Amino acid sequence: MKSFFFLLFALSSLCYLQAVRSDDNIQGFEDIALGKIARSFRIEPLRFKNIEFGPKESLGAALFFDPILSGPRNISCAACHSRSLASGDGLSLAVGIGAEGVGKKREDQKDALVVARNTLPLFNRNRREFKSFFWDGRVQLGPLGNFESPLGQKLEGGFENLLAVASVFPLSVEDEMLGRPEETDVNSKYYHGALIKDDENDNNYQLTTLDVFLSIGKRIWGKQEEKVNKTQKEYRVMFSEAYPNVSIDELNISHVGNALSAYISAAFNLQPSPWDRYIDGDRAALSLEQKKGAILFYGKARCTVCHSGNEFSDFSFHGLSIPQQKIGKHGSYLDYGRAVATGLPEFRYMFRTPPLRNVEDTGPWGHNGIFKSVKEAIEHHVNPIPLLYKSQQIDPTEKMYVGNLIGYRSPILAEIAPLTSQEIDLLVKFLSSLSSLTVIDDNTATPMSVPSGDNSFITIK
Amino acid sequence: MIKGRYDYLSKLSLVIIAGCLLTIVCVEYLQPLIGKTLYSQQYQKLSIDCDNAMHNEVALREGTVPSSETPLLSKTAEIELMVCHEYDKTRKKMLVMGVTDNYLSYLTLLALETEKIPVSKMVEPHRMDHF
Repeated sequence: MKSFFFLLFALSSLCYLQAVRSDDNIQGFEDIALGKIARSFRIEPLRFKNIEFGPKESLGAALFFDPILSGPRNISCAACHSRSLASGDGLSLAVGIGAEGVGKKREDQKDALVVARNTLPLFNRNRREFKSFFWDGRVQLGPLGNFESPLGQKLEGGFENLLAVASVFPLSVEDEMLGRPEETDVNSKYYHGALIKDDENDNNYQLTTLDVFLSIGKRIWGKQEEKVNKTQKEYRVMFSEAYPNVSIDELNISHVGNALSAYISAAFNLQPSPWDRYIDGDRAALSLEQKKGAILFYGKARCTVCHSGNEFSDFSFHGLSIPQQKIGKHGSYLDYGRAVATGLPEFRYMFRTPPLRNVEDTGPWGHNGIFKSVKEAIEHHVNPIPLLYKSQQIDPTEKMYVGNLIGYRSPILAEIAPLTSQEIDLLVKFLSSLSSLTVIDDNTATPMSVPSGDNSFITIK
Repeated sequence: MIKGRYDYLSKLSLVIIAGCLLTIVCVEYLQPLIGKTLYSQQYQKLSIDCDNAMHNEVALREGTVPSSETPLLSKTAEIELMVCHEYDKTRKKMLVMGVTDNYLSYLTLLALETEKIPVSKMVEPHRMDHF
């Protein structure tokens, strides 16, 4: 009897083992499928360039952290692009002129000016994939590789790359760094610091911007014939080290942009992520869930149609039907997005596909920071109705725009296959595999001080 | 002596008969039962996923989104279609374990009914245009 039960047990175990062994084969499916996906989409691992931190990068670092670039001298690039907050500010909407400090602290000042868009991170902005900048792509590469910007033909020559062009435009935006034109009180925190001339160029953005750029130059390095102050002296030395073949009177805004670009390129250059290591052959770099998420990303979730390439963006423009929340920068607090940058109404409510490297750390997400989690953002891609409904519950006027917003929703999103909540979780897991540290550490990327002496935006060291 | 040998042989033949019966029970009943228990749910899910994938692939191949994104969309649909390979593998595995074809058909129907998908929709993509 005993041997009978033993035999029964042995045979049952054999049957079970056979089943389990087959399950092992199923786990290998993810690697096989991802191999096919990598070949099909020609996915290459990210290979970082080692950028040396030379005089131009040091000059860029000084300019990046120095509030001298802002009209009222109370905000620098580093105020909203903090290394400790994934090169952003951690806020739904950026807080510009009138606030103090870095990152989330800026939200504490209730009378500060809110910039009606979410701060974009700066990772890998030097890479050639970046053919458009800002949510609306108002700085972009033209069809012949030329730089297109709101300045049109009036854009100064000498910019070395698109990032250099993009990096100077926040200086000319009133609520971001310039200050209010109507403010005449020189002691006001909104005062433009005489970067805007009251009597000319009224309502002409291009001429005003050129004037602002000229004034910023004079403020930083002074005029050749004038006596320069201590700050200007220090900047002159830094500029001559960064541009040894350029005399002071030859300097213009492009040299500021090129230095800022050099710094941003070096400071926010990313190391390969677990995903890159996986594509490079390290099969253990991703968890099983991340692998399953990757298959969804390149398959039924259709993410890769827009989030394509090595930076996970097509740098093109799509509508997501994101509620307006009365915080837009156009007309009656709407944000028409790409349409205003191009003047083409068919681009209403469309925004640039955000790149996804380090995306898990760069929240809140969306052009107006409406998404509090990556999962929430993905869910809205699949089904915009709950968020649109919720926004109407909060503000009944929101319903006036819903039809319009849905009308401009990208047709690509309609092709996303039905996704379960568990599958969306897997996508989130996959996106976490796109995270990596910068090549340069915080100490190297942060200056000890800035020439103006206002070191309030230097938060490390 | 002879009796002892007889007892031994009768015991041995009993064990062999019991073993054979047990094998038959295991192969014919136990193994299919294990197969059903382990894979029925997965098989039903895969049959729905594969059905969706096939429909999506056809739709996107025909360019339901007439734009420059169509080729990429089509490629993602091909990736999605890989789930049908998993469906086939699971089906074969269950067949090998002795689950009958009829039972698998029943599971598929059950899954489709649960999802309210008409059978015609499931069948249509399998039709070949020509030999």
